[in-house]
Amino acid sequence: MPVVRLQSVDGEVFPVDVEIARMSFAIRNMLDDLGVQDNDAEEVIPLPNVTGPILRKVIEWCTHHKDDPPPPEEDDTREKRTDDIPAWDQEFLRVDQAVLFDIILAANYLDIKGLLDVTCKTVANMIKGKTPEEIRKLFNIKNDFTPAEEEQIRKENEWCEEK
Amino acid sequence: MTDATIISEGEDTTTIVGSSAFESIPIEVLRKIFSFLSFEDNLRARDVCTLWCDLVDENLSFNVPLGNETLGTVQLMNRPIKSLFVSNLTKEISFADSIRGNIGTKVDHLFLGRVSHPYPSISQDNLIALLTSLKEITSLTISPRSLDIKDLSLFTMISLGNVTKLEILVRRLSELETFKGILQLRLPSLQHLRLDWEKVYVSNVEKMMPLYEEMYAFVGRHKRMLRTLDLSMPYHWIDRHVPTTGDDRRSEILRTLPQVQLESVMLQGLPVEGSPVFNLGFHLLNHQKSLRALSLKDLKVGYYTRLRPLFLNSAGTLTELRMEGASMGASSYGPFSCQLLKPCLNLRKLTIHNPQISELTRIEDLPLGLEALSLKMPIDGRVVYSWIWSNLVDLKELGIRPTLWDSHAVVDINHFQHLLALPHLTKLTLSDGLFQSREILEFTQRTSGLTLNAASYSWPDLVNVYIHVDREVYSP
Repeated sequence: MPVVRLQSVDGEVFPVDVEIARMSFAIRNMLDDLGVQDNDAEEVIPLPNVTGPILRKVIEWCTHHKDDPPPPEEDDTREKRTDDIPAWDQEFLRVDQAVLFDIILAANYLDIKGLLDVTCKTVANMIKGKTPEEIRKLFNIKNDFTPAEEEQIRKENEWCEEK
Repeated sequence: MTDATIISEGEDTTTIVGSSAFESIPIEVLRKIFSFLSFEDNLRARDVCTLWCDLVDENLSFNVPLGNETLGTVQLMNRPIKSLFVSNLTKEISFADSIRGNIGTKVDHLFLGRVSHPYPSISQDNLIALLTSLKEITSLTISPRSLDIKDLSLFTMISLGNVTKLEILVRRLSELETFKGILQLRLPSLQHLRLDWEKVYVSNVEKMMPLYEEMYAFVGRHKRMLRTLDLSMPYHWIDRHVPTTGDDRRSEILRTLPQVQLESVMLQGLPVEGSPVFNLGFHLLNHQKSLRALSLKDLKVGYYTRLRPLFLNSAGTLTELRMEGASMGASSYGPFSCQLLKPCLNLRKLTIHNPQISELTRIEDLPLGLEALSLKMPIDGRVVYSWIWSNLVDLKELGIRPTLWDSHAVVDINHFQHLLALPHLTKLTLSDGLFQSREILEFTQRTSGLTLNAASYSWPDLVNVYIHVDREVYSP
């Protein structure tokens, strides 16, 4: 099987099957626009926004999901589910928060819809059912509301809930 | 393996890496995350911080997918819309008919199409109907691939007087014709221009020249109000094989670039000297007299010295500088001399994230008024830390991240003590140093009284540790 070589920002080079690399729409576009030939094995594709350890994780995910059917076209009217994360992905994403967010950034940059979906769902699941204070604590987010704003928001939310 | 924190399970949230995780997430990804939340969860998320509040408000009030069934919703929503995403407005649907009686709806930010939709989905008639009925658009984002336009000259007839911000997101070579058409728009109030075509891989520079010409002309027509220019330029894949001198036409085109004075410039994709993008970038920068913010991505280390005239011109006004990323291969390693920044006496915020910088020299020339400093490069931490803690006394935020594979990244934990003594420091992020968990433990004990967040994870061949310190006030 033809192989492309992906280079992370810190200089690590990963040989990857073309079919797996093409799961990234960013890489797919590059390969198509360039018309890269099979015998161009020396050509290295630089990925200036992804570190080696994260790229390794991304490739691991793509390798496991290489035979998945293409993700369905986005449908904004349908209710979105987050309880459908496959067991393998749940295990795969059982990582430190910083790593999870790095994977999200990589999936976004490389345009890998399936991976971006499943990582965003994972973060959404971390948010679900929590109070604002719990969310702030979990993600170390600073509460930057003024007391007046906070009061205003609380009122608005009450109003919304009544409806 | 050091003690990794597994967030999804942990009840104890005191040992988690800092807020930087969410801060780095692009807005469109945050929107995606929120889209998976229920209405109730969205309401609670609204209360977390001001950014989340704004984002949730957008989602709650608009985000109306325009399709046949949902057009009714738009009519009912006869109130100002903060942001409106438009897609799937194909020629089978008539927006003009559906919106009757609802003209004048105020939309702040109109998104035309989506980069994730690979096919044209907004018909010509609908585009005209949208742009003529939504008169008060102040910000416009266009994905050229989504526009199904046969007659590109229609753009020459459209003038949008309220638009202050235009953003064009190009992903494929095939979109460039439409892109060129969009550049015919007349936006007399335009202040902020963002052209993002970083992901377009160009193999034939000559074919791009007419497009650059259009772009220069567009900038020229709008230079009266233009303040911010954000260009993520295409990566010129084959550029390195193209001769860099003796091309009259290129310099001719460059002369057509208007001398526009800007406050903020972001340039990405200047990896090859002599390429049109490179020439444009330096031509533009060399004429700036009062830049406040400058961000440069993918610049080779060796080219930083070419910026010297810029730092002399804008030295008095520049407050924020970002130099980020590197483009290709390992051949362009080099030192970065802080001497370059010496004239920038008002610089407050400096970010250098470039793994191809081999060392930081003349660190004593860094402007002493810096309030935020972030370094990500293979530096010898020991030298940098000791200089910083004794000189940059105004620092509020400091982040240092030596790159993973560099042996110099081994740092002496004792230096952190000194950093913590900086009087105004509220945020310290140190990461990727090759620490041992024992050292972290000791460090944590010595800094008792501060909020310290540390988390770690492990890969087969190395150990990374993030340390993140956040505190409100320092009291000696």
